[in-house]
Amino acid sequence: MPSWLGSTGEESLVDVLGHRRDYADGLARIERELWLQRAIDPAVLELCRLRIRSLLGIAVTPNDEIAGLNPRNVATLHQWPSAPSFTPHERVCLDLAEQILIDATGVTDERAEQAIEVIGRDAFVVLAYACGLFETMARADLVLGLESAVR
Amino acid sequence: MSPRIEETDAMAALSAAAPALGAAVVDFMSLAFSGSKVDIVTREMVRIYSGRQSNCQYCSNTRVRGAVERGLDESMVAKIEGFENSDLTDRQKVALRLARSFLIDPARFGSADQQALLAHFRVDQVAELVLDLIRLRPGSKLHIATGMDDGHADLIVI
Repeated sequence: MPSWLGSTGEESLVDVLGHRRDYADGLARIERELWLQRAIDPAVLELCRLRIRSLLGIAVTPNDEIAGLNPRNVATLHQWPSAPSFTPHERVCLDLAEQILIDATGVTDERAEQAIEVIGRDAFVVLAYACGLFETMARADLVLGLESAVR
Repeated sequence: MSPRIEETDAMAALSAAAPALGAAVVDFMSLAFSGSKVDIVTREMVRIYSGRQSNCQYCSNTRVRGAVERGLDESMVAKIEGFENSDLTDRQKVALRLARSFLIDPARFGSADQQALLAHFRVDQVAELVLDLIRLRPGSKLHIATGMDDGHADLIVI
């Protein structure tokens, strides 16, 4: 869907934000590095990204380039607390993703400690940053008219 | 809430966990102010609004020195919350309206809002404001989730 910003019908966030080129390139680099890092499995990150976009009302479109993404998990993402295909590790990450989206101050000491015990400290830190980024990129898609919310 | 990691800074923690990602985030922050298109006072008001909406004490109570030097004062900051009924400039109000929509209900940023924004900002300036809004909240949330947001009740200028 073309954005209202710009005059040439830009259809991607990168293109729209490219009107401020260097700054937009910095964001593109973060995205690249996020998928290349190994502190947390990119397939789990993708589930969190999809869950956040879904909670913000955007239709779920998985990135097919992410290795190891379980299609059954994508299909039952809204049922992650009980659907049998989700691992405890994935559930901890999705629980954190939802809490960070709704209100990061709700990540209590106890909750953080339990999460770190399961996923590790490095994964916890990367996930906390990534969830904020997934959220704001989804919000940018919506505010710029690149995505419409399913209400 | 107490710190959940060894580092005393959330960005240092990110760099320790994923060095290349951490470096990219640090560079992104530098690029934000390299060749800036929007005046620093307006950008600082948007940053403070984002910090408040993210419940981040540190972001809410920090002031960027460049903005203070160019006229941002606490009487202006006090008007951010109820900006619609304030005597802030129309341009500042339009920028804060974008921030409010972005952080609360982005899908409802309609054609009247878009036209008002473009009446005050060029396309590259709107792109910069949106990039600011993309950049700010992830840092706030990282800061909070890692338990580092307590103890920032006093104003600091950086």
